[in-house]
Amino acid sequence: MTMKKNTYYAMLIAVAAGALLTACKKDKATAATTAVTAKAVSNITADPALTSNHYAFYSLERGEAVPYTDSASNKWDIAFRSTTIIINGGTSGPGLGGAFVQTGATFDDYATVAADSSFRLDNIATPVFAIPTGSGNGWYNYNTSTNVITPIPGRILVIRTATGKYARIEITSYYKDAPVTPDAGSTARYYNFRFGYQADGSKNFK
Amino acid sequence: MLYAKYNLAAAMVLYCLSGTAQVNRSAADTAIKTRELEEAVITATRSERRLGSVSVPVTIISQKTIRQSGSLRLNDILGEQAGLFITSGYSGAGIQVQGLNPDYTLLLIDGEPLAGRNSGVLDLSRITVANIKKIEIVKGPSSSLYGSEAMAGVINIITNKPPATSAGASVRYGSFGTSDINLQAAWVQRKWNLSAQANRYGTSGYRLEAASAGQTQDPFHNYTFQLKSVYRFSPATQWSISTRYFTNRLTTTPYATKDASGVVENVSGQATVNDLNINNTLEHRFNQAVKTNLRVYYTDYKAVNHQWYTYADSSANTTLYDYFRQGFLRLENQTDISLGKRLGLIAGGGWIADKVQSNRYDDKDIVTKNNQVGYLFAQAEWHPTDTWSVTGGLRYDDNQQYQSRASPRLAIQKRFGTRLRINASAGSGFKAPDFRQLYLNFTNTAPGTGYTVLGNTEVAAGMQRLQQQGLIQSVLVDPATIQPLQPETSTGINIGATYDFSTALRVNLNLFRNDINDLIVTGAIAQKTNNMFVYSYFNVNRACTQGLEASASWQFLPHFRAEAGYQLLYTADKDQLDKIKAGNEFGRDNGVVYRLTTKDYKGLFNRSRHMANVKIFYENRRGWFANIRSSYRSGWGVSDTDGNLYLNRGDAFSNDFIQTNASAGKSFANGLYLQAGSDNIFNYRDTRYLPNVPGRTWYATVGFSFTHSNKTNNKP
Repeated sequence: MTMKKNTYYAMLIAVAAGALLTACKKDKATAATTAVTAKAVSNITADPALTSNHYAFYSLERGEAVPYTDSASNKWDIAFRSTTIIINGGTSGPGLGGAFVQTGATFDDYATVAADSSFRLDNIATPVFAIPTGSGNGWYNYNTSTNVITPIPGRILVIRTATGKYARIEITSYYKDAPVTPDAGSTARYYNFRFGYQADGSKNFK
Repeated sequence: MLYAKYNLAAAMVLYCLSGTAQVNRSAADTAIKTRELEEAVITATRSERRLGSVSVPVTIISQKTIRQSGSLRLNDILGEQAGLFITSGYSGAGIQVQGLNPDYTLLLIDGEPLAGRNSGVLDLSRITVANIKKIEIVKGPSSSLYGSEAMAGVINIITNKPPATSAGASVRYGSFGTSDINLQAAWVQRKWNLSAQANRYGTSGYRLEAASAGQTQDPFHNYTFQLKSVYRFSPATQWSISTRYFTNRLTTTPYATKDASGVVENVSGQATVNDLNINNTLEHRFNQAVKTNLRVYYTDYKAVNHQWYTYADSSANTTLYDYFRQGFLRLENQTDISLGKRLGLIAGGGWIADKVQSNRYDDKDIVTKNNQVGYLFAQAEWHPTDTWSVTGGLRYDDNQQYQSRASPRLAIQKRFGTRLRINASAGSGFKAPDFRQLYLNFTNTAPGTGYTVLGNTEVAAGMQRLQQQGLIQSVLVDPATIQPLQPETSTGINIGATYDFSTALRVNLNLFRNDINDLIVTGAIAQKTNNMFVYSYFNVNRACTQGLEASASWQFLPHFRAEAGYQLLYTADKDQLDKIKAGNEFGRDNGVVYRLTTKDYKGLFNRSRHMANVKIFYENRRGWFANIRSSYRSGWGVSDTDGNLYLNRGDAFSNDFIQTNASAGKSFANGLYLQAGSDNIFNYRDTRYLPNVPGRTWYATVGFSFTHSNKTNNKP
């Protein structure tokens, strides 16, 4: 298992490095946008039992967790609780945030947010979330035979941040330490993901 | 209904006409001439025929093979046949035929269906093989004769009919405190035969991993009693009654574990199964050409499961109580008419009343649900020449609860000389939605769960109730848009050839393809506030299975017989395959996301691409016998681990499985019988994916049988 985990991280790093390299190459050629580096994030605790029922807030701009006491500010972009993800915008926060789930794309291939993309907003009253909840609707599938929640491969969360910048996110695991094959014994509600944040306000990630 | 009757009549007239045109040709013998001693088979055509003359794929397992293989339960012996995959899980041991789920194989005892499926699986370990004369396995859709469930095939267990007054007893003891005791007695007179069988089977169970909470297999014991009476009023008329009773009790060895929130809980439980079958048959032969039988069959299956979860804080205690009882009454008449040597007809009809009582339909109270089915069937077997045979059948099932269904089948055989025969058959099968799919209203209250399943007819009311209770977080599928369930239907084609290289070597090859439509699957319809889901049943998917079966049997040296079998299997959920072909589906292999191609797609879960077995039997005239039997299954898809719900590269697959069993013994002339053996002699284990395989086991058997008069006993 440790072997597998190491291989997994090695691959993650390799992929991140790969993204970095391609980004650099493109940069030289076009020099149009700021380089976007992929950052891997592990073990964001989203278990309500461990967070006093609060969401776990995260800033894509700074690449760090944000205390829940800052929830009414623009300091955070995305927040997690169980399988639900909220975005700093709509009824969830004061920011400009919105999001949608891009299907049929890999993290590395998803280079540009299409100009006509429409970003969804959270609306607690309905309730409608920018990232739809429920198995198969948003970012994950729930396997009824193994009781395991797994991010759907080929789905990218496209985020407009609290300050109106753009980011792409690929959730890689819902379990602590991202085991390659989670089972009933794995600890759930730990988000592992990688993201690319475009600081220059453009919709290009490369 | 009426319309179909006319259709049936028209079909029969058509067959009659074509038959009479040929009637003056020379006599055709349905028995194949190359093997005079070949066994008879009844299940393929509902009428006794020589195995070689049957044009659909049939396998027969003899009592001798069952005995010498040291099998105890039905799953033991079926698991040693190539192409039959024994599934394991909460619902017990099920059987996959030609890659189709256990739901789609009809299981009969002496021609009458068993009741009591759990999640579609009829637990094969309920059936002792101690009193079985032979097992007939018909592959391919047989709904034209048997109606619902006979989509993949039919397994008919034919119980013993002792030919002489006799008595016998046997005791077997083996690893894990597994014991099997049999008593048998028969009283055979000119007019009246009476026979009785009793079996007790028990095991102490086992624990595969010392660290696991609870036993892997909990101890259980069961009894099977069978009483048969056959009374012959005259050579032309006989009346038989057969009663079988099975009772099983499983006790969960108490253990302590931690629940989902980390609190220590003590788990204990008890599960009982009771199964009664009464079969009453009156047979009469009017003349050489016409015979008829009238059957009244009743079966009553009851399963009660109790699990107790107790805590230090007793207010947190929970109980899981599951009650399921199914009663099934059937009246049936079948008439066989032989119109000359070239045409045989059978026609019949029946009525079934099915009743289920369970607390799964109301969350709490025991609720009764009823269904009735009326049906008509007809079959014509026509031999236009000595080498051609054409069999056509049609059955019409008129179901009270859901859409009625007509199921045709056509089978053709052509013989070339004495060595080669070619069979081709095509038919349709169906499986009516079961009570669970229609009426289930179940919330799992076991700690760590909390999901709800609503049957098709319960969705609207069930969802309304959950919403009123404030338990629904979001609705995913509007209950108003959910359509009534239809029967699952299939078409199947089998094309095969059998070649006799000599009287000692026979090779058989069969190609098959099954297409299933309107497959009923579960899907989430809402998410509850506890983040668990509400599920219901939908007719959505289309699936197919195809492949090839090959078998060979070879008699070599004076006392040796070898058998080999192989099945190649390809399966697919056709809707999934279409999506993958469209090119926008992805998988994840070791953390790397990739675009799925049809090459990455591995079809349906729990299927082995390759299955094979080799068996060598030795038996001499002095009663000594020995055998070694090996079964192989290539790895099968266990679960989706990358979240796309497809089975593809990167998901969880089991390892290849090989099990080798061996046994040896001697039958003495005075009736004494000794046998010892070992199953899984190379100790194959897979604690994760095959918890029902305990590793190597040993056993020894001693038996004695006494037969009155010098009639030969059919036991080895």
